[in-house]
Amino acid sequence: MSVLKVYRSLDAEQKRILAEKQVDLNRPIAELLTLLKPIAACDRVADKARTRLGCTFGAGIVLTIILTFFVAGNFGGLAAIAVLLIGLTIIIGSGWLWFWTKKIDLSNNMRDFVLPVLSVIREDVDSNEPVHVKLDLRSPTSDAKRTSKSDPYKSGAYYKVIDSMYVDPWMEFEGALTDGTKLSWRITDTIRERQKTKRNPRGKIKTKTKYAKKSDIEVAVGLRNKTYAIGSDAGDVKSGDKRNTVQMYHRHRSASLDPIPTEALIGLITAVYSKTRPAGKEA
Amino acid sequence: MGTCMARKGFLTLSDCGNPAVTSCSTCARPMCTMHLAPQSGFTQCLDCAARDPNVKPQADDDYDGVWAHRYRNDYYSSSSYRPYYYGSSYSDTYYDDQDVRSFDDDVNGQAAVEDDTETGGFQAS
Repeated sequence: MSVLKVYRSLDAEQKRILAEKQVDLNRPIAELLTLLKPIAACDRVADKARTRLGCTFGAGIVLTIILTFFVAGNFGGLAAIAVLLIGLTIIIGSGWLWFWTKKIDLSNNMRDFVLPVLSVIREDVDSNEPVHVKLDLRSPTSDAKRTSKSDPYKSGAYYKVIDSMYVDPWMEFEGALTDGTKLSWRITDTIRERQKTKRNPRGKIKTKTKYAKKSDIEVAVGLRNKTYAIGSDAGDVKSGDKRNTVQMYHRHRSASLDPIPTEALIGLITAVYSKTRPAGKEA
Repeated sequence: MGTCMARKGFLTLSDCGNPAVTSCSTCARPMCTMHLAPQSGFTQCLDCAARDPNVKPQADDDYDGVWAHRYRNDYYSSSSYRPYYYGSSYSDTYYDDQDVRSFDDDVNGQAAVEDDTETGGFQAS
């Protein structure tokens, strides 16, 4: 299915989310998933299309030049102009589409983390209560998220190294579960981008970019006192009249910009439940 | 036809309880529409479809019911997590591979959400 066709099938709200790349909604979880899944599908189609469009753009330039000269030499100027016009149409069209798919590109956190996590806990969430989801789906290394950029420095064989730091608070969730638990989490990525430039033995200048990412995952699980008692090894517990809130934290490190695995969050939440027992039961 | 015999949830498990519309073509348990796999033409339950490696999601990145049930099975078997089960079908042998924890009878059936002002989130005191 072409990316334009998929895009046209989206409603106004979904197109707005694609354009602004921000989600801040209070909806029942089923409604949220119904809203977000087509957006993710459009993003997936656009990502695939962008690869093909890039190749078409590059090949179009080369072929247009070669064919124009060939046709001019063998068939005359008018035919060459026609070939040139057709070639330019393909080049401009594919170039425009490439930039447009780039403009609507969403962070892969949406497809590879947000949707699977919401799908896993869908039946745990109280379907009558809205959940609050806040997402920042801009690229993790967008200019708006850059917090610092170093001056160029030397390091080993690399004569120019530039470090840029980014902070990306890309997800917050708050919702009530069917067992009365209040669940919330927030995830913030801190990314260091290192661009290293060197001259190889053949004299060519080569630049490589490496990433180091730390994902800080904070989870708060508010367990009803009437339902659950918490073990003494539960960690950071804030006691209340009606519920005890267990706060857990995990830092996930990665050498790429790929989304964190869903288990990084799910494991934290299940770790809290594992430390509970029915209220009133002996430990 | 009775009620749907699927177990729903991931962090905790409970009986679906919705009215069943048909029986699963594989396990013969009564199922509601929510717990039938579209890939099977709504003839197979999500649990059986999830256990069949030949059943794929309807599209790439489509985290549908089959995917969610498969994730649940894989997570339970690969981790030491034992979810609480709030239902009444402890004798259902279909879920013998799920190591669940039970609640006492007097806790089962309590209202899931009561009116309370404590949010239980990061601002809880």
